[in-house]
Amino acid sequence: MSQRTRNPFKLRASEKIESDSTFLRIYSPVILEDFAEKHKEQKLWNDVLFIRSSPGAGKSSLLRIFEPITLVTLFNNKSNPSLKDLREYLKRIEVMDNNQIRLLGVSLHCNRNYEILEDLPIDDIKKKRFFFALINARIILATLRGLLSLKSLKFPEDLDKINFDYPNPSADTAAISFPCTGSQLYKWAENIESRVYKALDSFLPIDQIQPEGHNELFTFSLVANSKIYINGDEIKIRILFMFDDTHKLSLGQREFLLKYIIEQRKNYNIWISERLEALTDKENLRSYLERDYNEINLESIWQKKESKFKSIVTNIANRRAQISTEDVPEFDQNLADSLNEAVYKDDFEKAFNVILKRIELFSKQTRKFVDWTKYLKSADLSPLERLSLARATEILVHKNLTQPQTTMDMELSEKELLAGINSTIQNASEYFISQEFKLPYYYGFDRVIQVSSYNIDQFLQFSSELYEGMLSNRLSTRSSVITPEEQQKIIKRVVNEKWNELGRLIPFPEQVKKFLQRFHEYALKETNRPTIPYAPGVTGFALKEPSELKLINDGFWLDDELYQPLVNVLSTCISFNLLEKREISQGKKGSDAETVFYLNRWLCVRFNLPFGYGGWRHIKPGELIKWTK
Amino acid sequence: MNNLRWEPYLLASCLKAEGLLQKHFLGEKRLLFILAKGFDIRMNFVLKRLLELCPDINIECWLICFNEGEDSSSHKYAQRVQKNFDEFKLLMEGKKYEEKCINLWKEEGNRKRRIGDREAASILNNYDDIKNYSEIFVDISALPRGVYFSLIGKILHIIDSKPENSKSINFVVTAAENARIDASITENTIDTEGKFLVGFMGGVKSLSEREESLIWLPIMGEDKEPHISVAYGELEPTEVCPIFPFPAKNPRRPDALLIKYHKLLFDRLKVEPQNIMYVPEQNPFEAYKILVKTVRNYNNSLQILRGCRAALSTFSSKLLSIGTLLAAYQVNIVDKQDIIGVMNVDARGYEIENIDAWEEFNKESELFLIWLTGAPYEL
Repeated sequence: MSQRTRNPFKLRASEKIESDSTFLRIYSPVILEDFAEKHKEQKLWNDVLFIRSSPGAGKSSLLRIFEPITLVTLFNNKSNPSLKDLREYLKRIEVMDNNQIRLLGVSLHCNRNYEILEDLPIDDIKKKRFFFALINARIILATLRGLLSLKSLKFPEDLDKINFDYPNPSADTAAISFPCTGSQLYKWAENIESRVYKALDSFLPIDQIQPEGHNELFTFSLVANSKIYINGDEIKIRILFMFDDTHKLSLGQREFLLKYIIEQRKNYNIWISERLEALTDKENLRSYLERDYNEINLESIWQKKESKFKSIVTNIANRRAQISTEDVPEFDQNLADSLNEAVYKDDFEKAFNVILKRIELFSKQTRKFVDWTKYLKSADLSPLERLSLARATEILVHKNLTQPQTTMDMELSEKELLAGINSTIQNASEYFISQEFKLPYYYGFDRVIQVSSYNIDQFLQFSSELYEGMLSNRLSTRSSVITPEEQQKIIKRVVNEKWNELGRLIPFPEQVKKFLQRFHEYALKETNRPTIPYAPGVTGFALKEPSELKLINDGFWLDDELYQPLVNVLSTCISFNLLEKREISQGKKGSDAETVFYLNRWLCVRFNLPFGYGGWRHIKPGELIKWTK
Repeated sequence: MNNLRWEPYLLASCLKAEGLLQKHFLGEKRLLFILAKGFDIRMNFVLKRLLELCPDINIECWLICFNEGEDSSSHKYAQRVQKNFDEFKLLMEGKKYEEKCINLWKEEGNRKRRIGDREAASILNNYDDIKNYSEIFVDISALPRGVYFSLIGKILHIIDSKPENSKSINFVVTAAENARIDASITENTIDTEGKFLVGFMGGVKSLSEREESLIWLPIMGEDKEPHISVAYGELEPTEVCPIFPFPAKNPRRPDALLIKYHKLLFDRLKVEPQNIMYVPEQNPFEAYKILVKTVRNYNNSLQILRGCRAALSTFSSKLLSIGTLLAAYQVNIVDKQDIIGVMNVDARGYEIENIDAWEEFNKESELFLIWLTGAPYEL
């Protein structure tokens, strides 16, 4: 297959990037800092770790780093300066050092074949036994492949160079006698796998196939406790079992597997990577803080480290742009981050006059704003600066008029005006101007990062189309820079495509869309209040009971059948990253954190809302349920 | 290994097909006719034509009724389904028919998975279920791909493994082909995951567990970009060989498709231009021959690297989908290699445009007979 990468932003999920060296070149390892922290707290190894997120946050890419072949590629490129960061992180968590790789990652991808076992016309006990047998077989096959990769040996020719000596054989392993060669073990596992596979796919009755079933997941112990030799030398290495996509298992299978692993807790290193949709509605909607197991939620990590997310996506964007064949090696610098003032001069002046007239109307009722108006007219500012100042002034006028009357009707000074304009009001002004006068708002690299809502795949969805715009511009105008108007047009187009495809991607699509629309109407109304009490706008909500019901547990609605449609909608929104859940502490130190559900930022574009996370409102569950209907 | 089960083959369409039916049903025959209860106006097209041509035929029908789940957008066409069913009952007046109900989905909490293929295959268990018929016709005109593949596969398998000295059975797949009706039906909620159909999984494993190359041969059709993306994401193939329908009634069709899918194929799927292949638009047997030859060639060439597996997908007409079915059957079951998987991406519902014009469109439907077993192959 071709190695051409005209638009490398279109290479999305890690598993679709064929070459390990390409993957390593474009992978940004910042996320591993959290693993280093866990390691420091002694919570990374000898335990079960859940890695969770909504789709596209980078779970599979993360696991791919720990696969033997990736580690070998990295280890063999010791002098490559672009991989230095990654090597350093891996040293910190004891995955490799300068002399050797110290980890064998056994990767188990939970595809749909496991789930199909549930549809066989056999009893539940047999289904569970076949499920365990299939996992056992695949653990062995993945371990053997991993060992060969780690030692750069050939598959399957070199399987005989591996020897396993397992001290605790059981009835399930009766078909093999230890010590045995890798080749013998491979044949045993392959036979089990192919028979289960045949049972899944055959038109023959299952009793004619007779696949092997197992009562225990004994291969964790077999791999972790065996003495493993390659070419006669004992291999002493940490073994990490990585289950990817466990949300693809049936509910029963996932429960069996997790229960088995958690109850056993035999200090094996087991990572379970899954989408949030694997969790029950309650697990999804309750606070992260209530979970009592070792978990890394990729999106919530970024929420706490906004600047890190910016650095990771900048890194990703630039690494990808550099491997394009089209000679557009920069991404962020090709996104114009301000409006062309010469082009928009007339628009700015017209808009300024409209706002000025509105402020002058207030000046007719009170003398307070006379100096402010004079200053607006005389200040030595560019048309855009003057327009921003005018809109900010208008907000302050409204705020001032709604405050209780503590002063006489005395003129407010220019100094008081400038002191009142903080960054929140400036941001709100920009947003209100863009909405009222139809000027671009969703443009510039910072906003492209914001629209990604801490999801790498989402960032790539937008950036791949923006990069396509850069490539087109370069062909037609020789400049790769895309204007704010072009950026907004592209971003809106991607957003509309995402909105339209919701119907096929999520459960309860009609109710979810209705709910989001209703929240949008509410948020727009709250955002557009003249005094902007929730600047820069309302884009989130927290569930709150009416005060007279304080004796009732805040989460009562989660168990109430009447609220099931709301539970379905909210859980779907969390699982599919339409709402971002954040824990927000307000008021006094030590007060309880609120769980706030913010719109994913691409929905803010859909609904013409600003990007800031400041504004949210309490809404009663009784009100929210109406929005689902 | 170079033999082809369906070479020569019997494919007949339009007047030739009608003449063949009239001639074939002159003698003593007992026909099991399997069709689906659905909204497609072509549901009764073949049955009606057959009964017009051969009014004295000894026929029995199995009517597959599928439950698409509560959230299917097809429910809005319930009236259309009823109208077709009323017509069916009228046609079958005085004749025996049996409804075979299957679920397309199995629900588990908030999740559900497709089981239509397995359910369809289980409407018959063994040779005893069909031994009393001399003819079996499966009419795919109103059957979803996810249902008829496994059903046809199972019937073929049962016929092929029937007891020695038992009488031969003429097994024919029928279809009412009509491009205008096809174009007026849009799949509106595409599954987020593809699925290997039961009986045609071909031992294809996920990328991390795969030990050999995977070649993907998708047959291209209009408006299938989401389907192709989903299937590609599921398969993660080593090599993609897109297949375009040509010769076609519209000679520019492959060019139009290539322009439409240019970005997807060359930017995202990184297809090599020399991998592009063509199969005749209306001949499933020729498509079958090309597919089998391609898979065999790849497998032979890659033997030194432990051979290969292949995934076939049809994002085009139902006729061509039968070509993929036959290719998978040939390699997996006849050649006993089990290396071809058939990856299907289904939809949860359909939107119909121009439904009022369907009666008119249906006059242009063409009858196709794809003869798979029996008399023509025993000469």
